[in-house]
Amino acid sequence: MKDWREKIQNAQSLDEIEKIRIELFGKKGYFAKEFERLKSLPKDQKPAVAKELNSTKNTLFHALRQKKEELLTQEIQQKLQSEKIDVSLYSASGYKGALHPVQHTMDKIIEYFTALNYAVETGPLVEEDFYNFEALNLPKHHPARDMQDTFYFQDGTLLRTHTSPVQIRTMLSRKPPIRMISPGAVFRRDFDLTHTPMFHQVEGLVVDEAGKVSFANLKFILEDFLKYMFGDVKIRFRPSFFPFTEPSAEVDISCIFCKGKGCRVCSHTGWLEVLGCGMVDPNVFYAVGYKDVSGYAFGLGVERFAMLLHRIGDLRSLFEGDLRLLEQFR
Amino acid sequence: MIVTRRWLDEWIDLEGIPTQEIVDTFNKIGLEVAEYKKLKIPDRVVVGKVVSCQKHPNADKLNLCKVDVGEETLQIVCGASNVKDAQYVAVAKVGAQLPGDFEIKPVELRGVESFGMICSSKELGLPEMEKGIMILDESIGELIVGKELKEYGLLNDEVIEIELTANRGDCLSVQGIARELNAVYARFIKEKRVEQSSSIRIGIGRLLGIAPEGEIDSNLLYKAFKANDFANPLLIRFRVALTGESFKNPAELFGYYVTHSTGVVTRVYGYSFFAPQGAICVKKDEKKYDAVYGEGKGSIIGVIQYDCSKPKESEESFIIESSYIDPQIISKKMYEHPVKSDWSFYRSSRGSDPRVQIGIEFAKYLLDLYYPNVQIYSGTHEIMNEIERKAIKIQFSILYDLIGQEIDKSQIVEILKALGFTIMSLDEEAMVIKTPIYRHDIQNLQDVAEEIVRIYGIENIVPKPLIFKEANRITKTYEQYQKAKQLRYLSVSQGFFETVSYLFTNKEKVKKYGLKTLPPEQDLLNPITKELDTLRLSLVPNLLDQIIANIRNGKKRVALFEIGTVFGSDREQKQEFVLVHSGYKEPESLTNQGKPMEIDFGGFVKELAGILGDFNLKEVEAKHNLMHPFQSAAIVQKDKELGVLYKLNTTLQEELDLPSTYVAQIDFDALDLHYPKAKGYSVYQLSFKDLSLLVDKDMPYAKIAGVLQSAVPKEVKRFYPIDMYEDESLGEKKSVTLRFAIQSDEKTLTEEEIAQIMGDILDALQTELGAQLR
Repeated sequence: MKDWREKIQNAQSLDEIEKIRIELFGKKGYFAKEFERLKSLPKDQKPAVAKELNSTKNTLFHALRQKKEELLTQEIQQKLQSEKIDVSLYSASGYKGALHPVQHTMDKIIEYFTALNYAVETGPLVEEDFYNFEALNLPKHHPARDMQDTFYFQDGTLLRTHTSPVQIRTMLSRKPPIRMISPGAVFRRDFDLTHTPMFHQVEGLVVDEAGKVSFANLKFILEDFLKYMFGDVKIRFRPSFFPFTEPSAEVDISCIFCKGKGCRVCSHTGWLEVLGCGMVDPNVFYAVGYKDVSGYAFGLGVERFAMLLHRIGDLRSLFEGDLRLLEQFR
Repeated sequence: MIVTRRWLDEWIDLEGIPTQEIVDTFNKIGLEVAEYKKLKIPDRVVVGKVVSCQKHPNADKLNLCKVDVGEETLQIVCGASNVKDAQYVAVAKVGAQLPGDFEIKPVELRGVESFGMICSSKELGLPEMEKGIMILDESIGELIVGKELKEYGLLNDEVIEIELTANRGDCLSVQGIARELNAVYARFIKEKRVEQSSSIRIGIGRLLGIAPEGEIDSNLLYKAFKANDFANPLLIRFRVALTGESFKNPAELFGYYVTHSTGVVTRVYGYSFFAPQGAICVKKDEKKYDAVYGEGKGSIIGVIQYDCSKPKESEESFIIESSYIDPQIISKKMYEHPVKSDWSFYRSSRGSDPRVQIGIEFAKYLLDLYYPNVQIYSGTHEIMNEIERKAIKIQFSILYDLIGQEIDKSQIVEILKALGFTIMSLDEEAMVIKTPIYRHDIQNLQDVAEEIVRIYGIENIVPKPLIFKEANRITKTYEQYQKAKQLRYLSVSQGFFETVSYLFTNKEKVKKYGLKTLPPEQDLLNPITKELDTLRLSLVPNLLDQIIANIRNGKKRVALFEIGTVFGSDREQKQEFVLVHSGYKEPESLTNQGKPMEIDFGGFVKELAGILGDFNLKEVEAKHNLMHPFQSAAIVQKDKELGVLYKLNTTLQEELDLPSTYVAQIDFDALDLHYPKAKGYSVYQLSFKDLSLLVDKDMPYAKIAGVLQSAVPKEVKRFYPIDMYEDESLGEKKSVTLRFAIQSDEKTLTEEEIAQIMGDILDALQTELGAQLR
């Protein structure tokens, strides 16, 4: 019995266990023989020996089963172990592309305004003088036209110099109240370190009945918007001039690089100019035939936002599809 | 617009207000400060007096000077041609550190020792005024030999550059800027006038007359003076140089200084120009501009003065002119009949100060103060038109609604008065005001509101949310935007990078690619460069350029996409979605042993399907030189052609030195974002059966699929090719293996039933295409 136990304990494989099982419990195995021998014993000894034999059989049977399970577990373990790989070798890199920083910034801006129930509107890139200038209180001889060097076509049309013509188109095609933004490409004949002939703007316009929309409302929305875009920044409104708004203001945020202390990016002023805005000029309402209304408008350059948010130094690099830049935005 | 602290001090009392505070105030009230800098002349630069000046014994171009600098007289070798005996000059003594890390040391020049340097303005870090050294005079203060030049406040000034908006012509002068500060600080504006101390008893009329002819739009005021060797003092030349202007003619510089100081456009004519006629003749020229004539055309009012009328070197009598012309009239005129202009047009078109007498008075004041040997004729000549000041009614309730809060009426009145408005009437509800004569930009209530808001301070307006009517504001544009956004995110997940390229492209290149271009009459009139001389009719050329640049930068896998506006050949606007994949199929990694395959047709289709969903491909002919004639396909989705997919023509690919490159050109507007409708599905056993066929070598799969489309029973849910095999042993045939998914909606099919279906399919293929079972 002890010998058998040891033999079971020392078994190394399931095969060995199977061999022992046959040796013990097979038709010609140890117990078969022992029970055979039982027959020849005197009657009075039989029960005791039989009991003893059954008990041994049970013990060995359990020992055998236990060992078998043990070995089975071991074998699975070994099999799994043999499947081990170095997962760290498979670190993934370079599979996903990336959104363009300007488009991604535009997404973020649109997300804010649509969440506030602004409609998204659009207009043609090839515009008529009326929508791009005339209706925006920029008559032909207006000195402010100098600010925008324009691409022209033979038929007198032009590439829009700002997204503001969409204001006019929207006001002409819808009735107040209006609450809209218009994102898109704009064009100016300017090409140097800080100017590209194409860039992107987002225009905003809100129009409601007379006396309803105030400068205080404009201030509210832009302060909230800029905090959404840039986080915890200080915001400053500076009076300014645009032909299509009055009063007008330019909006600065405290420099996100130096926290307003003054650095190269903010020309040591501590402030970054990010937006232009104002109350819609009555001449603009007059041009679209609106009466007894009030409204505000604002416009921003998407590249400017993208460059600040992503710390991009060179404007022109945004239009070159250069993977050395784009891969960083994965 | 450039002003300096000391220049401002001459016009308004700013005592006790630090310049930095003034700069901040400018920003607050809408005068954006572009630059603020302090000028500082270095230590050890002193006032010196040249006591002798001789030629250098060994060098023609050098002078040997003895210069009194107070405690000693220095021997200095000076190369400037304008150095003369008895001049007061700026002397940098030994040890002085000049800008640009230049330290003055004793030196020997051609055998003569030199102890210091006589400086030009530029060498001291000041703007350049004339060639050679800076000659000092008492316009900057009493000249004391040996006194440090840094002690002279007028030279060590603080310079503020203001970026003016187009509407603020009234701020194009020191006086105008001072007026703005007065509105904030309520300080005293200084009057600039003198009693005629140095005047001649003779009136201007004795010198010359004035002869207006026809209708004149301008207001003109003339004064005459006599002077020998007219020359401007240092201070005036210095300040003009600070503004960035330079003039050859000293009288013109004087006129400019008066203009920049007062805002009244002021010029100086030589009397000799008018002498033959004996009168200033003013009339409309051939283009209907107001012009001044003497011996020929001398000037166009508010536009330009011609050289012929400027005082000559020998001139003894001078005529000063202060002028005003309505900015609307002159800018419209210039738009209709453009002519050459000088510095004056910028001011007159933005609105100069109409109070011409201020210009003349200030000129008199300057002549009296700085110009010895000047005698002024009494009296003036003038041409005057009445200028009306606009009256505006301000209803307070409208004003408050516009701003979003109430502002104390007395404060409003105070602000407007300080800005030069006149209050005509005032009650509880409204007031009527008259605009200042120099504020051409103020036309209506909103303009006045802006004036109030900027002086009151935008920071004092409390932000308020706008209560707005709820409405569905989902527009077509928004839906298009969402569609694009979805495609953009999907493209990114397939490894593509979004790019943005110019709306412009190069016509020659596009032609070379065999693509369509705009007809010349539709094209840009004034492109910015030749490289970008036309509008794009497709995104592909620009994207290809970006691919080429990236490959040249050593990138092995370049996959780019753009959704952007393109034009049809009638310049109608469309949206295109283009994807280009060049080089490696995937990044280098363990799984490809660092040697990924190059992108191939199947791989590109797989990427595209991950973005667009299922589609079919249909063979198309190459329509331009970019398309590979035998690897081009139309992309068909739900019977609609979305665009084309092609391998870049191998010839072009080699010419451009590119690896394997594939392009998908998709009509964005044809893409649908759809909401699929669910159908019932079978719950019975699904079986797959393969069928290997021998068909003619040149038979496209589309043909086989076409036959199957009509031949298969409804139990065949799907079929698709899984293998294609060509071999010499097959001769003129090829082997195509198809897989069929078979399932009934009503029951589990028996083997016999499935065999029957497959048999029928084979029969059809045999009859229709002569296909054989392999």
